[in-house]
Amino acid sequence: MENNWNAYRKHLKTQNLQFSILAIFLLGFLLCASLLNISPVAAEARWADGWNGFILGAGTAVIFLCVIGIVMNLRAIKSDEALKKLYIKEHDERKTEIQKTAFLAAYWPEVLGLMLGVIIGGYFNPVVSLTCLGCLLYLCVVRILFKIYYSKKL
Amino acid sequence: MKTKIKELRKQRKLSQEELADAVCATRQTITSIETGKYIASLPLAYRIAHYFGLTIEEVFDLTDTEE
Repeated sequence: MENNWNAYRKHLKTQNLQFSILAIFLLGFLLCASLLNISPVAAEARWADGWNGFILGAGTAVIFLCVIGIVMNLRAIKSDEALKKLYIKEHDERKTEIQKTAFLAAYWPEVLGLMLGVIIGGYFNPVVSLTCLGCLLYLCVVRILFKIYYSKKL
Repeated sequence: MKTKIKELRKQRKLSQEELADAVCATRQTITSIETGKYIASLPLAYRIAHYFGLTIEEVFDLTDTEE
């Protein structure tokens, strides 16, 4: 069990590094976008402010979540009790089983929903239709790649 | 799947939280196992049985699964 705790501690440190890189990258990107006045929507557009605010808010939320993740991990790394609690919470088999079952069950509704978006959206707005198609293809390709990987691994 | 976990716990005056902590599971998992909603995996079943000093067959009623 001692090896498990040490391996998990190492995993949390790696996760902290990943969170830090993501947060710094996003922060840098948002700062650059603000300073250089980069906007996906033309400034004269009515909804430019709203859209820019939404993107900035989403980016800030992700940075905030990364910081929370780092703080939680640091607390677990420093305390054996907190480490054990976090380990149990993340590796609980029932929770893993629920996630696997839910994600499997959600696959076809996701695909069918996006297919409907492609077809019905195509009659109203080609951009919406193509976006749904892009999401659908991305979802399918990612799933196929993971299926191939785990077929070889297990 | 029926189990004797609740009776064994009460004999030893253990809470679900304490048992969960001892076998590296969450309290919700122990609750689900006790109510028969969730079937424990072999490693978890072994840890629970080992904690009580019993065999898996003595803690878990496997007669349902044989069918």
